[in-house]
Amino acid sequence: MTQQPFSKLGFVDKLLIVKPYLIVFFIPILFTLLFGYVMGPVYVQGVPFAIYDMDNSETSRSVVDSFYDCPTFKITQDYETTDQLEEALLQSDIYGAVIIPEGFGNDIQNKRGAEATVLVDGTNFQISNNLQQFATTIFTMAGASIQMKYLEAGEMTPKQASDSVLSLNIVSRNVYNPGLGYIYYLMPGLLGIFIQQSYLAVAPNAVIETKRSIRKMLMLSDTEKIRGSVASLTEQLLAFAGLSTISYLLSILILHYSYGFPLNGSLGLILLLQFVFIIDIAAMSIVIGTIFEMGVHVVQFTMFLTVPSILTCGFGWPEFMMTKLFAVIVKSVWPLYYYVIPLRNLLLKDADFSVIQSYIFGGIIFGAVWMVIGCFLFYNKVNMLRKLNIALDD
Amino acid sequence: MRDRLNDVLLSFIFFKTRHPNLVMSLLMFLIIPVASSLILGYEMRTDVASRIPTVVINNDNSDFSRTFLDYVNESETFDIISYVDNYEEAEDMMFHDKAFAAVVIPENFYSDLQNGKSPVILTLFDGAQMSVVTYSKNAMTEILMTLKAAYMMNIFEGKQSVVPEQVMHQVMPITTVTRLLYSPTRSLRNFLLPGMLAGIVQVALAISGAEAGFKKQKTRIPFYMHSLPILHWSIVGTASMLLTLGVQWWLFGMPHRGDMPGFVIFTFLYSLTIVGLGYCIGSIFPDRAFCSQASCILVLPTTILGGYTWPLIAMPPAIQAVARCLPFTYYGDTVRNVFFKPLQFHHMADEMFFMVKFFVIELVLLALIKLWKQGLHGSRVTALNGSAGADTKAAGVGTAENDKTEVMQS
Repeated sequence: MTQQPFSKLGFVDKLLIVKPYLIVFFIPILFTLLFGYVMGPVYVQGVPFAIYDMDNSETSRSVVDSFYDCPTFKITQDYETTDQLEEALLQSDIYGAVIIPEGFGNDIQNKRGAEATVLVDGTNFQISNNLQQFATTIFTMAGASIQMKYLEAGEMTPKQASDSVLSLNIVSRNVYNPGLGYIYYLMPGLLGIFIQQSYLAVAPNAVIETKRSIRKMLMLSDTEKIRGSVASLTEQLLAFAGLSTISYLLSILILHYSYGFPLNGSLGLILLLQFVFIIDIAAMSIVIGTIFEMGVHVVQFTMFLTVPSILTCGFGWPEFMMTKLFAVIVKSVWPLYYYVIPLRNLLLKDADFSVIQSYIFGGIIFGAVWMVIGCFLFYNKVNMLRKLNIALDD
Repeated sequence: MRDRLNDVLLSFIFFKTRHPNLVMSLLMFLIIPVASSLILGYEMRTDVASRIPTVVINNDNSDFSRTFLDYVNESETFDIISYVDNYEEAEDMMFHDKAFAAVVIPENFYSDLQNGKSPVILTLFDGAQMSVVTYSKNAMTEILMTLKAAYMMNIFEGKQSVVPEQVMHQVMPITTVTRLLYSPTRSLRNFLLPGMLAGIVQVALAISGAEAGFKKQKTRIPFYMHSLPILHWSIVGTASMLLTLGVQWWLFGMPHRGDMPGFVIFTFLYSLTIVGLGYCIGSIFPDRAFCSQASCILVLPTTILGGYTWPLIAMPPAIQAVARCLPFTYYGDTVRNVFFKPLQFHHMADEMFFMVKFFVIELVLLALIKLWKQGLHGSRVTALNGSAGADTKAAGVGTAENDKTEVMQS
């Protein structure tokens, strides 16, 4: 069959040819735009929270007012029994509640010590930590103001009382991500996944196509064409790498200009990281493309890698919390570890080479080893298939 | 030895080539989800952030500050890995990911405390490692509040001459009893895994739907027959989901407090919606691989868009509206809740009703797709009849057969 020139092909045929390049280029950008927008608000605010004030004294109302003033909470006072509260928590209508018992104000007035109960739905880690932290702060502040009154009544000057109460306080600073914005924490990891998945969506398929054509050529012992085929695969992988790199840089710029993501780290290091990762992921593409015979199955298999790879790469669950053996295995079988963690360090911490060098060298070793394994597997697989004489067409 | 290995490999390749769909189904519904559940369960078996590498600058070096640091080190949460002399060294360790938290005790801390000068302990957390920070901040606050209570007792007893029976009430005028319901350990594993594992299985559901839809794309069958592959893969998907989540329960001690029969039905309904979605996609596009890709691209982002990790209430209103139309929004939330909350059947009723509505809409959509495809097919038949009817009759070949071939090629 003679091949038509590209310009004379129909729209659908043209689209099918350029589809892999469009995927590699546009997927990271589109998903960066989408998820940047999703996590744009940065902080969790307006969490449905109930207050059940059985006391309704001046003291309890001042505590309730503090909850209303805190933007983290979206207060409702619709519940009038603890059973109703528990049912609302069960249904996730609210994520927490404060119960102020009867006699709360009176107990404080008479220095008998009052008790309030804070209920927090612990199933959502993000929300429960926020709620607990802010509720504790509000009650600590309320407690401190009462303590000061007690101390002043006991012949301390207001200054002495204030100093005593404020002693032993903690001042907490979050470095590199001061507001603990979720977008700042998660986006480097997600960007790594977008780059990985878009590359894997196309590169292993190119390997399969090459494997198929080489197998046919081996039957004809046409070594010249085999070399040409391998060269064509290399060109394709390089073209994907180039587009992926442009897409990666554009995605970082989108994050910075559209969503206020910090843009630190030198461009050279950001590119070096991408360069090493592309070699790694190209090596894995050769391995995957060698194992599978059908393009559609590769597409299906690679889609499964998204969730396990991000959860095991040390991004969300840090390396120091893994067993040593597990960490070694993770770093040996998949390269995302060498990419997303240093990328986060570069963008958030303005890391220099000394910080990311272990990841860079690790990534280079990973790529070199897996590239050799991939090429070896590829060569053996083609020979095996020739022996089996299996039709490989989809 | 090498020949034997080659033989085994050859047999495997031969089997894989003969039965590609069986191998892929096993891979998608059994091997990948169950292996992921085992691997992730093993990885996260410590549940929460513990032994967080912590660096200390103790400029005070009094007994009191050492006692405080002992408390910190003895807690499960922190592991003091180094004592350094200045702030820069501590920051450098955090910069190089050697420490994720730092405690700075100022000079003359204890003497200032005694003289009522309110000294302050500074704690630093690496905000880039948020999953660690959110947990460690609460733990550090708890340690300090305990110590502060002891200190305030001394003040009240010593300087205020309050009798010991009353001192506690004045030190802590408001006691807050915090009850972390359902997951008291604030387990990161419990927070992440149920939904993430469901996210892995939903990829299998979407792909199997797309594959089934693609296979039936060119066959003319009564409409109700399309429901058979959807049902088939939904049952397989339900079994896979239960097995994958069951691994967490059986091997890693994850509780399941909700109503299990209700959850099984809910999982089946959810599987129907995702397989149905894949089936619709598979019925539209002529490229098999693209059908799989498109269905996965539709379902994969829902693990985040559905508010599973980043809460729905924190998203922009437009995204919240979209998220409320996604099956995973309801399933992700329920799958976590059913493990940790004593959910009854009626608690899942609204979510189940949503799944039913979603599936009915998919069926209507599928019917429209089929009508549209039939329309395309009909117009092609007419065109072919008009142009080549006479020739084909002369050649003794039925036009319908030709149409079929043409449509297949297209």
